[in-house]
Amino acid sequence: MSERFSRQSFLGPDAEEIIQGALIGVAGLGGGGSHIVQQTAHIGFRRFVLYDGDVVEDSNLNRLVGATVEDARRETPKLQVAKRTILGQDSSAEIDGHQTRWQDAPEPLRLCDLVFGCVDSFSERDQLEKACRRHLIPLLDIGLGVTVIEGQAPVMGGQIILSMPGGPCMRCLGFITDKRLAEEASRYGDAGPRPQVIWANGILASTAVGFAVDLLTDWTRRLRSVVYLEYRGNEGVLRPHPRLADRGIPDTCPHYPPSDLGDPMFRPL
Amino acid sequence: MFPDDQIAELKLLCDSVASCDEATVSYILLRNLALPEGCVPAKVDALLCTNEREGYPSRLFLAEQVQSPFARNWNFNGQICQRTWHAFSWKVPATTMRLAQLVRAHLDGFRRAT
Amino acid sequence: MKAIVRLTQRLAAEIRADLERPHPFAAERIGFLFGRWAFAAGHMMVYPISYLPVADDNYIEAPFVGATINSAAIRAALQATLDDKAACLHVHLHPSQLPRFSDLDLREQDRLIPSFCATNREAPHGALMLWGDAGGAARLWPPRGGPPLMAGRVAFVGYPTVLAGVGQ
Repeated sequence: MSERFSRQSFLGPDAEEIIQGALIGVAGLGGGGSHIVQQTAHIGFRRFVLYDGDVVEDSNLNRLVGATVEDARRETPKLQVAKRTILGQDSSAEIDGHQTRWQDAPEPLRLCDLVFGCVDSFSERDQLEKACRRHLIPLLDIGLGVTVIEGQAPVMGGQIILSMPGGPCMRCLGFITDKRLAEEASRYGDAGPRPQVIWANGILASTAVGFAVDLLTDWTRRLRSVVYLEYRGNEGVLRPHPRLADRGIPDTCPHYPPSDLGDPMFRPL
Repeated sequence: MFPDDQIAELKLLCDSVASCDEATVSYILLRNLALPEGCVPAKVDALLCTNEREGYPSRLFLAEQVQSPFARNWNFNGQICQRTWHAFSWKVPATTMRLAQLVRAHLDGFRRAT
Repeated sequence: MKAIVRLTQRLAAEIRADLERPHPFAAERIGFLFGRWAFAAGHMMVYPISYLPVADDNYIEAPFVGATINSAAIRAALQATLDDKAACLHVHLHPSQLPRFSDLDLREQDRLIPSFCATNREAPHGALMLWGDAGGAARLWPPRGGPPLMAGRVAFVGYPTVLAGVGQ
């Protein structure tokens, strides 16, 4: 192991090679995705597929890791901020960056060994999970929300979910539901600015990166089942989601049958 | 899964009909579905979903955001079966319509102001 | 074009459990995988889904060769390829000291795999070799003709997710 990564030698003798060889996708380079890009670059990941169509604005600076006041002034694409972060750690990093949603350039995503989902809605999550399941790609999804209720303290909450092909999906876990998708569709266009803060995004992103490293290096030799963590921001608690105790969660996902794998087959009728 | 006679009726509305499955839902692809007068383009690929999703009992997705005489609230822009599809907010109540009737009911969304 | 094979750890475990069983006279076992495929960004991806072991009776005793199977076994695999409109991969194990296809493996693939290509021309077909505890290599023929290529990545997806190959 090189001196650069000597402090993470506990990850295993092959960890450096594994990490450097892995192709990781990050869909969304905002509050959560910018943390993920920074941390994975520091750890030694050097092959990336990145997606985000937005530019830096003033309102992003409270949480967009790597973005500067100058970036907001210049309306620097978030993709460019991410690339700068990565290249600052490894000038020879291979970055396939797309200044767009992943849906508008979907093919590179299908080559990834692992994808981080840092997207903003249940519909986006649903689509990303479908795309990853179709190509047998583990998906680490993170999300944060703050609910403001009049007369009460705001409630901050979030989640980390590892959607492993074959295992329980976000529908199996009760996270994506038809009801939530319907409510979201009815509010389409009315979402407004979503409250977000850097420390909470950091907790979720860091934990997700930790799971990614564990998944690929198996350094703990304990990651053997579904990951669904609930973040209770008001209490500063990150814990397995209570729903995992629900015996109704299937071991094998019924929503994504094996016949769904690969390019879809359109059968003439 | 879809009755042959109803598929035959669908074929009168478009160039060809195919089906595709994703996440246990079967979709019907209608290639070059003819759209109501005043729509641009006049024909577009469409994807019919007869399962409830996003709070709609059924949904007709189109390969592009069609220009139409009445402005529509396009509230879906995403991937299904590895293609990008668009849909506007138009609820056809759950009924026992035949597939071609269902498609026409969805296309009525272009014909009315609301 | 480059190639990737991805299969679940669960399927890999099923394959290994079968291929590690001793045979009365064959030094090694063979099986067939059937699955789906995709093309994206200059890559061909193959996703094995189901495994068909070769029955004990379908091995032919042959000296100097790890395993030889009879025409019944091959016909069964060809039929499954046709019936399921699947991609088919011949699969066997190597010990960890042999992490690549042998010359004999390659010759046998050149002889066998074109039959699968002719059976389902729309799918890729080829061979997968599992080596050691967690390694893999694959050689794939693209649909509708073209020379075979080595997969740059064989990924075993699950807990953990093992990435064999340098990744291309």
